[in-house]
This record gives sequence, C-alpha cells and structure tokens, in this order.
Amino acid sequence: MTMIEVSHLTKTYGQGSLAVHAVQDVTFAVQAGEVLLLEGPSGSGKTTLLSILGCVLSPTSGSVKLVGQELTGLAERHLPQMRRKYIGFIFQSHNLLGALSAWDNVRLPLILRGTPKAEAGAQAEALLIQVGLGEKARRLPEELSGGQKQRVAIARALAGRPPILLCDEPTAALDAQNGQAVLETLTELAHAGGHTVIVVTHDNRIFKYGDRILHMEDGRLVKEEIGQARPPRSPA
Amino acid sequence: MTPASRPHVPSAGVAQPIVLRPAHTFWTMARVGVAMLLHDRLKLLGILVGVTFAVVLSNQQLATFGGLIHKNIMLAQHGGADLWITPASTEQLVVGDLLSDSVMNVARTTPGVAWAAPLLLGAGTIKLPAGGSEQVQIVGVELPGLHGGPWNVVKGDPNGLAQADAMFFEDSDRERFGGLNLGSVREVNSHRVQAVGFTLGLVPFGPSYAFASFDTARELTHTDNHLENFVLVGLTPGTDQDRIAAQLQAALPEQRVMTQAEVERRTIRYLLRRTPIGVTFGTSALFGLIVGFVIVALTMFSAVIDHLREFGTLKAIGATNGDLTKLLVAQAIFCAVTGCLVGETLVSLMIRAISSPKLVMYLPPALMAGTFGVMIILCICASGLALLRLRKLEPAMVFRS
Repeated sequence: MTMIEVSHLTKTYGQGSLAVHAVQDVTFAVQAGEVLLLEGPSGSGKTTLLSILGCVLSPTSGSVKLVGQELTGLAERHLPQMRRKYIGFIFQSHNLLGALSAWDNVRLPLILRGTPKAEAGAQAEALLIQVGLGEKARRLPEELSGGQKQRVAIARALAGRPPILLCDEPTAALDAQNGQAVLETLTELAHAGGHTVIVVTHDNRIFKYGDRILHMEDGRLVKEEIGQARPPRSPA
Repeated sequence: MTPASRPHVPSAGVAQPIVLRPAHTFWTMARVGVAMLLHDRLKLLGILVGVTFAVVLSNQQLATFGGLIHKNIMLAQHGGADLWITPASTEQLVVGDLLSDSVMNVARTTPGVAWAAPLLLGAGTIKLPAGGSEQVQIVGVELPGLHGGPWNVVKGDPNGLAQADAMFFEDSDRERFGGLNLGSVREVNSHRVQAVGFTLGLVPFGPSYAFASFDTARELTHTDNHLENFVLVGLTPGTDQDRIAAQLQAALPEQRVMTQAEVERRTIRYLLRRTPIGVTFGTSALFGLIVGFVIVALTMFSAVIDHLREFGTLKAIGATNGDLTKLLVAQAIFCAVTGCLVGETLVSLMIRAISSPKLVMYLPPALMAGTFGVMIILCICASGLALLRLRKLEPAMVFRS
C-alpha cells in the first residue's frame, strides 16, 4: 500500500533573485512497512522535505499525498488534523515538554486526538511499558537519560498508532549503543508493525537500517539506493 | 535500549478515526499550561509580582477612596432615618443652607410618618487648656430620639446629652483636645461645655464630630430658633418609602426629599464629579493596573519566547491555535487568581495595620471581587501578546537545531 506519494514537489523561500529553492522537483513514493532514509549534507533540503511530509510546512508546488489524501492546497486549519491522524514525529533532541512527566508527554497527543482521558492514560502507560520505561512513567524528562528521553519520544510518536513515523536525526544526540537500539526499534516498527518510517540523517553508518536510501543535494534527489535492511513487506 | 527494553511493536494499521474533540482538551491544555508555569518558577514569580503589585496598588488606592466615601456618608448611614429632607442646594451632608421648623411640621403631619427630627450642623472651635484651639464639627440632635447620633459610643451614655451644655467628643482626639476625659470642661465657640461621652472613628472628611443636644448645638452655633440644617424622617413600619418621599416632595417643592440611599448616592456622585478625589484615586488605581498589565504581558511573552520550541512541538503533534489559546488563557487565569489571592491578602493585612479612626481604609467585598474580575480580564488580555506570537509560530521550527 502506498502511504506517501510525492510528485514534482518544490519548496521555494523568498522571491525573484532572492529565491532559495530548498526542494526542487522531487518525486518518490513510500510503501507501508518501509524504512526510507533521506540522506544528504546540511542544506540539501531533507529537513524541509520532512517538514512538508509532516504537514508542518506547505509546499510551493507539486503534489504530496498522505494515505491517498492530497496535501497541496489543503487549508492550513486542516493540517493539525492531518498530523494528529497520520503522523508521529521523532525529533533529534526529543523535544519533550519539560514540565510534564513521561506519561503526560505520551498521553498528550492522544488527548489532542480526542481519546477519552482514562483511555489515553492507559494507552500512554502501555506504550511506556513497551519502550521499557514503565517504572519511570512519572519522571520528568530532566530526570531521564538521553536514551530514555528518546524512548519516551518514540512512545509519544506511537501514541494513537499513526501509520507514518517521521524521524529527524533520531540518533544524533545519542551514544552509539542507544542510537543503534533506537534504529533497530524503528526498523522493527516498520517491518513488524507496518509503520512507514522516514528517517532524515547524514550519518552513513546507519544506512544498514534502511530499506531504501534517497540521497539529496541542493534540494534535488540525486541518487536512490536499495538499503541493507530486509525489503518491505508486501502490502496486505 | 537493551533488547529487553525494546518495545513490543504496535502495528500501524489504520489510524484511529478522528472524533470531535471534547471539552476535556481545555482541562488538559490548562493542566499543561499551569505545569509549564510551575516548572519555570522564575517567570511565574515575575508574573505573580506583576499581578500582586497591580492588586495591592489599585486596592490600596480604592480602599483609601472607599474610606473617604465612608467618612462622607457615615452620617446618612447612622442617622437612622428613612428619609432626609434637606435644602434644595444640598449635595452632601455638610453645613449649608437652613430649613425652617415648618418643614419639620409638614413632615410630622404627613400620614405614614412615625417621627421627624431636626439635625443641626455647625463649625466649632475648642479652646485648649495649654493655649491654642482645635476644630470640631458640631452635630445637634433632638432628645430623646437621638436621631443622627451619637453612635460608636465608647464611653458615656448618649442620654447624658440631656444635661445642660453636655457634649460627646471623638475618642481618638482626646489628646489633641488637651487630655479630654469624662467630666472635662472646655470652651467651644466661647461657650463652656462638659464632656459626657466619647465616640470612636467619627471623623468625617474634616474635623471630628462632636455631638450635643439640639438646643445646646443651637446655642453653640448661634443658630436662630426654628431653624435646622436637615430634617430626619422615620416611617411607620410597612409604609411605602417611595410614596411618602414623593408625597413630601410635592408638599415641599423648595426642599429636597431623599431616601438614605439617595443621600449616599448623591454624596458619592458629588465627590466624584465635583472634587478631584475621584480622579486622583482613580488615576492611581488605574496606573497600578496598567503597570501590572505591562509586567504580566511582557513576562508572559518572555515565557512563551523561552519555550518556543515546546510550543512548536505542541503544534507539531497536533495542537491547534485554539488549543494554545486555551493553554495561555488557563495560565492567565491561574496567574490572576494566585496573584489576586496574594495581593488581596496583603492589602487586607495592610488595611488592618494602618487603618485608624483618622485614616479609614474601606474595601468592601464587592470591590475586592471586582478587582478579582478585572485582574482576570487584564491577565487574559495580557496573554494576547504571547498568543499573537504563538499564532505565527510555524511548527516546522521544531526541526531546526
């Protein structure tokens, strides 16, 4: 099943001679259960592309379809609903709310989706147990290690079972061991859980976790490689 | 992450259907907002200082103003009259034009009137034993009814005013009047009088009240017979006050007939419109509120700027501008309520500490409640600046390192 379809996507900042083409004429598709790595040097447009796929930035032209639903031209007020419905984010620096416990951080997106409080609380607890942090559910982020914070961030991204996980350098702030564990988890989420996982990186050591690797330079896709991870499952 | 702690993999499947988000998002966002405030204690302290400052300054000014109002209407409040008949020019209960006894007689013969009594006001100069003099405001009341005072009696029996040349003085002025005690003799307006009692706190806007019988007061103030400043009217129980007032007004077209509440309203209106008191205290109270507003607005804005990434994250995970509005409004209400509780407690303690018979500070519960409401509105408005910033916040900023 095609989860993401990008066609001739362009994002331009500024106008005329000052225009900066962050993403230029990009076309690709991602299947359910696939791990796609977006690789490229700084300024190559991969984060801009991720932002557009995450419905937090509007494209200048081209087409983006998430689960068959066209994003281009969608009114801005509908974008939060798209994010709540389809997307889980994992950020480079976890971006947990410092004032909330791990449990509250995971529960919040569920509440925003309209999940009843009690149910949201139970789901958050279950997710934290799943990432091995059941005993630290009531801890504030500042009381957790870097790896534990990123696991909370993964649990938050999984809250509400969004079909698409967008990860921005998810291992950049972690040591090698924790980074490897996070990537293995993401791969497992895709291959066993059917999530579509897109990981932005400029670290070629993690290529082995991708089913496919798209290389970007100056806003363009310049190369596509098959990764070392096992191929995505056939759509059910 | 060790293999043991690796998650059991939840399947993506189809996302749960989006339902209309119920009202509980308000409480969740409110909880998030308050938690963010409590987590950033320095900013919270800044906001609370702003609210507390505004509440203390404005309430202190309003309490002082309330005290002045109270001083000016206490005679009406304690006169015990249902109706007041005053000269047409009367704006407040101070020395002014006089009425003739015929006015009182009209009142006394009106059906529904239980009693009518004269009241005389006049300036008095009390000669001190060690030389010099002090001022009093003489209040002449008819015995035995004693309508118009004295009240708040701390020493002596008001019926003692029936004695010749007897007077009640203000207890807090005893030292000022040369160590005045029960039985002390002084000269008031060159007339020998004896202190037979004391009241406490009866200090209007000016010299303190000194009560005497109507006849003694007439002598002291050199007022002609058959003249008085005001006529106090008491009605028989169950009588329609407004009907009798209208009836008396028709019978006495050259005088003004007012209920006690009307006397109070007229006095307050006069003070607000014809004297600088209202503007002076109003400006100070407003200044306090404005300064508090600015402090709260800037501190809330600064708190939002400090947590921009967190707000961006909230947007990225699906919070709408409406959700963030709920969060900020909850923060504003929390700050307003907490700051008001602290501020109003401080003001109450301050009033208790510095109030005296001379400096009456009066803050009625309704005014305190009003300040509470105003501060909540001000804080919500103050959060508007922060909200404007958040509305423009692009969630894509969370991807920038």
